[in-house]
Amino acid sequence: MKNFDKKNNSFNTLLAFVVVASFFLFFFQSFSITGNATEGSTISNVSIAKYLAITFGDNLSEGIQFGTVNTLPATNINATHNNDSTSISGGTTYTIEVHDDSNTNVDFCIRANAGLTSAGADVIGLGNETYNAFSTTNATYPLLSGETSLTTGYVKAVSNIDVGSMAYWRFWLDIPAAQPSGDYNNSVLFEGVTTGIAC
Amino acid sequence: MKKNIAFLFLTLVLVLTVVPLYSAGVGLRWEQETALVPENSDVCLTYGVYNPWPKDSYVKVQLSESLQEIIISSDNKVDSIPRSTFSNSSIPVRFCFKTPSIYKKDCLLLDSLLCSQSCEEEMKIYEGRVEVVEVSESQLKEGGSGGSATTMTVSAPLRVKVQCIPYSTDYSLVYIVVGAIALIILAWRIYKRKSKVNSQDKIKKKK
Repeated sequence: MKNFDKKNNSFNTLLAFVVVASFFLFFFQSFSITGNATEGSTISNVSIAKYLAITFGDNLSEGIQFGTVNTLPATNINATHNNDSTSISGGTTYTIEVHDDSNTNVDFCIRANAGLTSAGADVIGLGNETYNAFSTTNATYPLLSGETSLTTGYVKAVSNIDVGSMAYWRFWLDIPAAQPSGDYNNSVLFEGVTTGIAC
Repeated sequence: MKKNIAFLFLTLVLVLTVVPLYSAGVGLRWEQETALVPENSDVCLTYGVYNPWPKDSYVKVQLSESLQEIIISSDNKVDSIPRSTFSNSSIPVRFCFKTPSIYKKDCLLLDSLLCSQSCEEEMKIYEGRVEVVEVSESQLKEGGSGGSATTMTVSAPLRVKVQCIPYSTDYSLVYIVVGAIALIILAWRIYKRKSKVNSQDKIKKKK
C-alpha cells in the first residue's frame, strides 16, 4: 500500500513538473529577452516624384475615320485628318500633346481592342489598319513607308516626345476585295509612359 | 476705342481657336515604383491624378494585366478630375490589393499547423503598370465606313516584390495543450485522492 502511494506521489510530481516546464517553455518562446541599445540615429530621406500629362488633339479625340470607300480592293486609304493641317502644309492633325506640367519625356504605345468589326460580325483584320508616328509633321512625315500594323498588345510607336511637344500620327487602312459592305468599328488605345519604360 | 474692339475680337478668335483644339487630358503623378510587401498582406498605394487642360475629365485607375493575378479586390470607381488641376495639386487616388501566399511552408500537422518557413526560394517579383485611363471614349460620327474610337492612358511602372519572412516552428500551442492536460490530470487526481480520504474519515467516524 505504501509502495502504491509512493508511485502515486511520483506521478503527481511528474505532472506538476510537466505543468511548470510547459509554462516556462511557453514563456521563453513567446517573450525573448533583449538588451538596451545605446546607439543614436537620424533619418535620411529623399522622395523622387515623376509626373506626366497628355491629351489628344481635337481630331484624334473624335476618333480615326476613313470615310466611305466605294471601290474595292483599296489600299492605304488615308484617315480623314492625315494631311489637313493648315499651319503646316500637308501635315497631320492627329496629335497627342505632352503638357508643360510634366517632368519627364514621354514614349507613346498603341494597340487596338480588335479588328474593325461590322454589326454583322464581319472583320477587317488588324493587319490592314496601320499607323506611323513622329515627333514632327509635314507633307511626308510621319512616313507611309514606315507604317506598322496595329496589334492587340501595346507596341511602342514613338519615343522621347519632349515636355510641351506633340506626337504626330497618321493612320491608313487596306480593305480586301471580298470585304462585305457595312460600317466597321473598333477602339484604338494610346498609352503614355516615361521614356525608356516598356509598354 | 476701335483699337480696344479689335483687341477684344482678336482675343476672342484666339480663345475660340486654341481652346477647342484640346480635349480633356489625363495626368499621373507618382512617387513609388517598387513596393516591398510581405506575402499574404494587404497593400494600398496612392497615386496623384491631374488634368491641366481647360476641360473636366473622368478617369479610372487600374493595374495592367501582368499584375492582375495578385489583385484580390480593387476599387474600379471612376474619378472626376476638374479642369486646370495641376500636378502640384493632384487628386490622390488610392487603390488596394492583396499579395498572395506564395512561399513554401513546412508544417508538422495537417499542412497548416506547427509550420516553419525557411525562405530558400528566390524573391518573387511581379512587374506591371498602374494605368490611369480616360473613361469617355471618342464618339464616332455616324455614317461612312466607320472607324476607330480612341482612348488615352498614362501609366507608371510598378514592381511588387513579395517578401518572404522566415520563421521557425512555433511550439507555443503544444506547450499550452500539454501543460493544460497535465494540469487537468493533476487536479483530477488530487480531487479524487481528497474525496477518497474524506470518505475513509467518514467510515472511521461511523465505526
